[in-house]
Amino acid sequence: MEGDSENRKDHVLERLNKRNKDRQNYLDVKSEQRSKESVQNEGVDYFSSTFTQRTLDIEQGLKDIQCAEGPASDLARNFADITLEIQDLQRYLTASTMFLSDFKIKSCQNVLNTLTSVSDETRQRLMPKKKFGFSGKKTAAKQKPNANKDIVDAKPSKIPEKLGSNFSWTIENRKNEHIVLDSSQVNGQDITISNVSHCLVELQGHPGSVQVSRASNCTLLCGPIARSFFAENLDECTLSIACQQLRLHSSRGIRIYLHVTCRAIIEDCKEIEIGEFNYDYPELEADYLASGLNKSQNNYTDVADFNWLSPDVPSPNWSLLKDHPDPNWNALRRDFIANSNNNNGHKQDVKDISII
Amino acid sequence: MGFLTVLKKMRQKEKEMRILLLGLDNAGKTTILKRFNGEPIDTISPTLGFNIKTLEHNGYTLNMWDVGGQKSLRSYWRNYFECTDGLVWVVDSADRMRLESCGQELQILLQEERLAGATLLVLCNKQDLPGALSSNEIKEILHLEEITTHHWLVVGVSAVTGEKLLSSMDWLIDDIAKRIFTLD
Repeated sequence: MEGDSENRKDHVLERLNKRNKDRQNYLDVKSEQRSKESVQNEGVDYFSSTFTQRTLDIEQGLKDIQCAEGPASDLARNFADITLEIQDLQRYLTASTMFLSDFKIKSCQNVLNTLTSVSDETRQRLMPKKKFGFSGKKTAAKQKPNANKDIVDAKPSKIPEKLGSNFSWTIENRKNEHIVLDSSQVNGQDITISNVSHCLVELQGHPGSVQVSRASNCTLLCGPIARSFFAENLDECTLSIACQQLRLHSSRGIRIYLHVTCRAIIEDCKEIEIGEFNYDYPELEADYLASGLNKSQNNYTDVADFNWLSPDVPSPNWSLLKDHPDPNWNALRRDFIANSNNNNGHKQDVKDISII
Repeated sequence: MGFLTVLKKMRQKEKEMRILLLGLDNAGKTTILKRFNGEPIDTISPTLGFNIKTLEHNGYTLNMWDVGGQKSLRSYWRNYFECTDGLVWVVDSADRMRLESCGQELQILLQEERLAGATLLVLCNKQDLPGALSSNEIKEILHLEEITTHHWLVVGVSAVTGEKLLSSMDWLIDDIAKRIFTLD
């Protein structure tokens, strides 16, 4: 009997001890976690206050420069100091990324980018010397590519040869022609067009991607492009395009009838007019399906201009077509053929070309 | 123990890497990043600034920076060079007309002091397109064989199908890990 109760007591004591230990362990872990969290928070707080303070300092420095009047050498030194400070701050941000949230990193990086551009702009304004002739910035920018050219030029003829032997453009060097590619030549392909003028080009199918370089006075009609449409150096052209992304560079006088499911961007462009996609041919519906484009999603009114970053004032480089009758492509096609018949006499005006 | 020392220790413990994705516009940088991270790729717009993704892969924390490739954004690239462990150069294999400028931009990056220690992975994207050049052809056109300053690898991938994407990223991470984590 006695031994039994003794045993039970031991058992209870043991259990109590164990429970106590568990509880203490649990508390230890908790407090460790708490202190860790507070250290982390301190890091973030410390970072944001330091970052803000240094940003303010730099902004103040920029303001001081604008007010102060002194010899140009002072100005140059002040700008050098500010550039160094900005670089320093950039380094600080980069070194701190591992404990900052994505949003924080992004907003700080944006602050830095603004500071850099403000400082560059002020420098341009206050040091007019740079405006004349070969400014320091320009020569620096020019030197770099030249240095690289040496390497590239080591084998001068290699690149063109390579390009020539390995591929050709889908359509190139055409003038005054009506070019129609049907679905067998277009579907899923990457269509490339180069150096065309006064042509009517129709791509009836769903290409994988389309690239255009150097076209003038042309009309390009195209079925739904599964991915991106990329064009550069176009002049006085009309396009009717459905695609996921549209990128237009270094072009002017372009009218685009657009269906874009994500977004269109322009860079170094002028006089761009945007309207809604209205090209039509018998298999258009099926091509929409095959390309995977969403027919009900069209963001053609929201074009981003890389040369115009102000969000409040609309870019002067592009506009939406308003109160404008939809173009009639059939009539345009008829006129085009009639015209080219008149111009070219017996020359065959409709050509099918095959993809090599 | 200074602030930086603490940071360095944290970094070693967490096995963190900073990877920079660069390339001309329309090369597919954002698509590669999203595909790698398992996000849908059919709603990607041209990048107006940059994207950051932090993700876990093979026990490492990858800090991936994807910066837009438009001409007007390229001058900002240098703002992102600091502390970069790996550089992923994305090439549009079907974009014949800009391969030369693509090579030139890459050469400029390779001369950059702050990228001197970084491993270079060249991804020849869009291999699913019928007109795409092979990775061997691009290797020659970009003169990659002449690079002696960086560890490099060129791989033909497709962000749309995901072909070879993971294996090439694994190479990049292994190469960086060998360099920065085996020393201690």
